[in-house]
Amino acid sequence: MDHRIEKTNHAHTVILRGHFTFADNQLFRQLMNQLIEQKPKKVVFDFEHVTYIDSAALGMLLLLKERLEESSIGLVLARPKDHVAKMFNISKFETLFAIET
Amino acid sequence: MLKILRPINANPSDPDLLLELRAYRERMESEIEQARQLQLVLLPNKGKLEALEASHQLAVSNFFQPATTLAGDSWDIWPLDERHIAFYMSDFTGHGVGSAIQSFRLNTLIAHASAYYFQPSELLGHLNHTLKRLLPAETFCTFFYGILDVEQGQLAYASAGAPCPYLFIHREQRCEALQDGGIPLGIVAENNYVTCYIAITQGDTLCLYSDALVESPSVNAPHISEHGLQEKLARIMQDASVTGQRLFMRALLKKLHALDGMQYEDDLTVTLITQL
Repeated sequence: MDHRIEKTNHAHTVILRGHFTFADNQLFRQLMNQLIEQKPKKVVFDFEHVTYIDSAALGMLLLLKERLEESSIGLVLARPKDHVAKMFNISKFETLFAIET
Repeated sequence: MLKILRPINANPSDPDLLLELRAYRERMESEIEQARQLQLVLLPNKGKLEALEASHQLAVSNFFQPATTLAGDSWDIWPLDERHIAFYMSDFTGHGVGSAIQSFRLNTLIAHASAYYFQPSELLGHLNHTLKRLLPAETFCTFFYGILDVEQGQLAYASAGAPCPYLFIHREQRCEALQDGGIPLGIVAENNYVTCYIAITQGDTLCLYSDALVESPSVNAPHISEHGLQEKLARIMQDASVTGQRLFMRALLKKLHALDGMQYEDDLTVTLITQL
C-alpha cells in the first residue's frame, strides 16, 4: 500500500492507495506514531483508492482509533468503495467509526 | 546464546553459524508442526462427524485449508442432547501463529461456557465480554454459532460479523441468506447480539464459510462476491446429477477453484450441514 499526507489547519488527510493488508503492519504503526506526534485536531483516512482490505488491516484501524482517542485526535474514515465498503459493513464499522461516504 | 542473536557483524559464511541457523530453523519447524497437529486435533474428525450423522440424522462435511501451517480459523460441532446439535465457526484477524494461539484460547473459552450453549446471543455476549478483556485492540474475532433442533426442524443462531451463511431450502430449490448480526467479538464491551430463528426441513443444507472464500484476492481465481457464491451454491444444489453431500462440497469447491491447488491468502474453512 502507498500513502501520502495532505495537511491543512483543520486536519491531516492520509490518502491510501492499493491493497491494505497484514503486510502493511509496520508501515501503518510508523504512520500512526507520526500522526500522534504531530497532534493534528483530526485525521482523515481516505480509502477512495484502496481496492482491497483484509481483517488484519481492519484490526489496525481499531488500534488507530484507540490510540488517537487517547491523544484526543478525531478520526474519520472517508470514501470507502466496493470491497472496502463491504468489509466495513460486515464488521459493523459504521457503529464504531465516523465514516464519510 | 545463539550466534544469530549476537552482533550483526558476524561472518555469514561462518560454518558454526550456518549449523546453528539450520538447527534453529529445524527446531522452529518442528515446534510449528507440533502446534499444527494440536490444532488439527481440536477440529471435528471423521469419527465424530459420522457419530453425529447417525445420532441426529445429519450429513456434515468440511474443508479446511490454513493459509500458512497454522490457522486463525476454527470450527466445531457437537451434540447438546438427543435432538439438539451446536456448531460454530470462528475467524481471528490475520493468520499464522498469533491467530492460532487466539483460536486455541477461544476453544477453551467455549468449552467452559456450557451454561450458554442453548442461548446463542448470550453465548456470544459471554465470549465478547471475555475477549474484550483479553485481546489487544487490533485483534478481533468473527463468530457464527447455531443450534439445530432436528425434531422441531429449527435453527437458532447468532452472528458476530461472520460472513453471511446460506441455507439451501430444498423444497423451494433456492438459497436464503441468513441475517448478519452484531459487531465481531472483542471490539466493544457492549453486547448487541440477537438470536435469530429459521425453519429447516429434510434435505435443507446450511453452508458456513470463512471470508477467504469470497474475499481473498488471488492471481489464480476470479474474485467471487457473496452474491456470486449464493448463486453458485444454488446452482450446484439444484443440479440433479450431484447427489450426496460430499459431492456437493466437491462440486462447490471446484466451482470456486479451491480444488485447483490454489493457495488462498487467508485461512479457508467451508462446512455443509444437511438435515437428512
